[in-house]
Amino acid sequence: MISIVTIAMLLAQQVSAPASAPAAPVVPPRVEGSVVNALTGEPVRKATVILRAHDQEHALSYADETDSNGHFSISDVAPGEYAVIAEHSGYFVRAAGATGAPPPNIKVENGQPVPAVTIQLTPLAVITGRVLDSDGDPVRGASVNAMRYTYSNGRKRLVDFDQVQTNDNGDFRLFGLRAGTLYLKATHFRQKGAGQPETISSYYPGAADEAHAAPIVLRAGAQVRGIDIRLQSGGTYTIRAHFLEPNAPGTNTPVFLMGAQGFMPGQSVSFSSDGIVFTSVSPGSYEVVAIRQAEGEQPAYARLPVDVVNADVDAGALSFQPAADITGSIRVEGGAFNGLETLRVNLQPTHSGPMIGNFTSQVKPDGSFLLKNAPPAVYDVVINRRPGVYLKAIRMGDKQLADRRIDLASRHDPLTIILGADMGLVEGSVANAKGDPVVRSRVTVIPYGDHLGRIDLARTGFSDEKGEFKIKDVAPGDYKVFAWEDVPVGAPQDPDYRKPFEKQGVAVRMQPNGHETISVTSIPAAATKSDDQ
Amino acid sequence: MKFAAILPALMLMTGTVRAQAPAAKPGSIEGVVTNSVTNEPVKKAVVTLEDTKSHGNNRTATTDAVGHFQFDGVNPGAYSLAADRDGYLGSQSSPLVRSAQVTVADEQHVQDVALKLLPLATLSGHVLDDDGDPIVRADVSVLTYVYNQGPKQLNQAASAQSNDLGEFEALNLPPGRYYIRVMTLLNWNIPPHTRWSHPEEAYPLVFYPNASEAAQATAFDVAPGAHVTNIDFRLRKMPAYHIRGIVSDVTARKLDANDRVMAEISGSNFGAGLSQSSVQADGSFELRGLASGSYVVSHMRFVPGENAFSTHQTVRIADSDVNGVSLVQKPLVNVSGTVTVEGSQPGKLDLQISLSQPNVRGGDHIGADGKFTITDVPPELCHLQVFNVPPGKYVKSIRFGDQEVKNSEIDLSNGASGALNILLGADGGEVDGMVENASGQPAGGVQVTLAPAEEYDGRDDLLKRMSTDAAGNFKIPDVAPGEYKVFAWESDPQDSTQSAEFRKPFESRSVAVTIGPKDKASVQLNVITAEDMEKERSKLP
Repeated sequence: MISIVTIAMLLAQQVSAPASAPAAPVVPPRVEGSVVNALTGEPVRKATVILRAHDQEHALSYADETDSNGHFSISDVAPGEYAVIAEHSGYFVRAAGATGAPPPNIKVENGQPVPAVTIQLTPLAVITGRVLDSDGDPVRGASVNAMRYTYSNGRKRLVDFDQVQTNDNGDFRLFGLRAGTLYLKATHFRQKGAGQPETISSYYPGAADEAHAAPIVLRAGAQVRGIDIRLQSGGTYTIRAHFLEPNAPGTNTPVFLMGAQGFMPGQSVSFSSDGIVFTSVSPGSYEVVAIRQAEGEQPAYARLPVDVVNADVDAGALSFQPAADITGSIRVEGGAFNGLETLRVNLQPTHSGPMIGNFTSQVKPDGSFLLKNAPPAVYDVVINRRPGVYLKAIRMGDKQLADRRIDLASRHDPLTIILGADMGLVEGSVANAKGDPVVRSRVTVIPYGDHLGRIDLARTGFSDEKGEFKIKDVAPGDYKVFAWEDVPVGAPQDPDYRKPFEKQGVAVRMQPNGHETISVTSIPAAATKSDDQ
Repeated sequence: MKFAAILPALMLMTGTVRAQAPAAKPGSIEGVVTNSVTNEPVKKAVVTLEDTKSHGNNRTATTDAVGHFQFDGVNPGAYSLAADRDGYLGSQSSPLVRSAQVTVADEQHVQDVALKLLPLATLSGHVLDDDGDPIVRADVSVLTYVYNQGPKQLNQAASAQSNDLGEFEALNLPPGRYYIRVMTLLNWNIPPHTRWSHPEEAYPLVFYPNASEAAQATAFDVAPGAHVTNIDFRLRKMPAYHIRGIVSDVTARKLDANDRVMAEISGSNFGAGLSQSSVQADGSFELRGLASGSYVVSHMRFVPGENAFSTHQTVRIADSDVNGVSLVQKPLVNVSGTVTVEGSQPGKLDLQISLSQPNVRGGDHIGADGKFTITDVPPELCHLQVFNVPPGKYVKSIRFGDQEVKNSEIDLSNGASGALNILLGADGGEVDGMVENASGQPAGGVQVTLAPAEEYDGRDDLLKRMSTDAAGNFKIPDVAPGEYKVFAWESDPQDSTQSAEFRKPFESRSVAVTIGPKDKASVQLNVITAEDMEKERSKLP
């Protein structure tokens, strides 16, 4: 077996050998360089180096692996521009400029030697520790979640980004972590006896909730040891609820408890003629959800929000409301748009709790759509983003929905969704206080005025190597444009985060199909310095 | 995910609350939980005390540092006790864990109840490359042969991922024979058309220590509570090849960015995607970075609100690129039919019919007129199942077009060729009997299986299972007329007895019965011990 493989490899090398021999009079461009550890300067071997073509779906890209000196060499590169990327487990590329700025480019031209490229890889950090129970005994098979504050949809939230399990000795090892502040949460799911599941979670070092969790500050390449998480098995409580009206025979009525993380499998529930009891519930925010499915009828939903703090809770009466079908159509104003069938209409529950199902409808080529069996609740109507159009208005019947929000618990008429195709362009330059151009800064176009809070209309770009930017698809309306030398991804969309920087935003009014040119003074990295850099 | 998919799981979560029995002169129960291998006491085990008469009215106690537990205020009656602890086999999951049966009389203090817990095993090792450097985030699967519904198959018992040091550890394995497989996912950041400076290479799929298939791999016979360490893989890269082909869609739908083609390992039923490709507007795709071996190449499309579907084909790479693979996407099929009940008017039926294929399931409620339509079924060989047959009825015949469906397979690869007609009969027979253990005593709480003739293999509605009562008696009503073999099994938590292949060697210990319409048959059975069943399972490769 092995001998066959060896022969195949030799053959492959022989075949490729003549291709790399220079034959043409023009020296084919060769890209070479090295990959080094950004902290120590030592070479990184076995790193994958990629020259990624701009049109990567069609044009040829190139790849090599660094040798024991961290060196790579790619010959016969077709002229063009390439993004230079290096990868190695245990490292990441921190490109110059603002976080999230695209990787640096190199230009390859016939007959022109390409200067050697040095790629710096920043080492990732490791955290090791143990999960212990309240007596200090190790807990095997517990999961440990690594969490960070991140911005999404204009809000700052603690979000899980990695998970590992403890081993036989209760030890865990989180690896591949970027520098910054993070929080750890241990969760243990066990059988508390036959058929009685129990979930216990605690934040490092032994806190019951986010507010009391201790941050862990990681520097690049750090090896943090001895992070022990004490699982505090706080009390569990009982949630009761009852049906407002008795169930008709022959109907199927599952009842379940949804937590912030979604449906909670294994939660023990018992039924009596009119009551439902969930036992062994840990403190937290939940929703009791019941679904009644009678044959030939639309399903009906009953939902009760419930907070468990430190006592048993009676959530009250479950009252059913039928699911709704929503019909509607999409119209485009201010220009042409081909591709209505590439649009999807999605209902997003406005409360931050769990989602039951995913209510999305593909739009038909004629612009019509149908959302079936959506549970009664308040939803934001959302359209997937397509280049060239933006969500301009939503009407129900002849009424405009100011906040693009529908309440399916009350009466509803067909929706008309109006898209605008008259978007404009903002371009300009970014300079610092001294007037020098700022390259690779994050430029954000944030809606103000009538569009205040419309995260979907916010736009982002980066200044180029000359400090210039060009941002397309800006809907008509009022904006402020900010340029950040560095900023956490998504933070500029958060009004609270922007507050101290309001004066640095340049006001722009975009006309339909408009074209605005502005100069923006950058917000220095020191002003937005977060430990996530 | 569609909401309907989670409903069946929710329906299992029902329970009942019963009134507490009237208080009598209570007694107590105490005992010790030990590790069945080391005989050491097990602390923090949760002991469940179950009243054998009124199930569901359980109490629990936790063992102390010397494994001791105690229940006070126990009303007179019969109880069963079982213990659970992390790292030990669960009380509900195996015949190897036996519960203790205890009877408490008025004011009786039962002592020295001994509960044993079987410790689970741990397997650990490293995934390293040729030079001994760690391979990070390699997927390690711990596999074992099991009997399930069909013939024996290699199932995943546990999985793990290597960390930055190449270490992996799989926890909580019951004793058994295991194979360990490692695979590494392709780096998806490599653009689709990439020229490597060196010949392109990839890590092949490897069964420990260095085999491409389970048949050539080294098996680990793992004892209870064993810690098997140093399971070290040394992976060597192999030349990598490409699979190219075309997706064509006879529904004339436009292909877009939601269409993907994926290569998975042949014979793995847990979606191990090794390489992925986008689909160009002309339907062409190119999968790269695949070492020689057998792959399932599938076209998938997943859009929220649209029905997920896939079409797939097995492709073998033997030391060269494979070109011209054709994946033809056929339209989903709607299957219509009627349920008829012999001798009665159609009425409301709770019957459920499902047509399934791995990962995809269609089902529908039946209208008052007995008519139903199952929509969006994948155009493949499907498995038909009929659930919730009402009491007093049985499935007398299933016809698809002009064919009688015996083994539940329906071929939809060319669309629905006819109506699906299900006839329920009301003239079913009955099989009753008694089960004895080896010492001639009545065997209570054992499982009796009524298995249809081989040609009906796969018809879950015909394979009936029932437990014996405390006196060893059982009664199975609504039996479709036909030939059966009746077995009695001491315990079957792994559902092995659903497999005809597993039952085969035990046929000499079964009783054959032939049931005519409205017939009654009585059989006398000897229980097949859990030990004998385990012996048969231990013959698995």
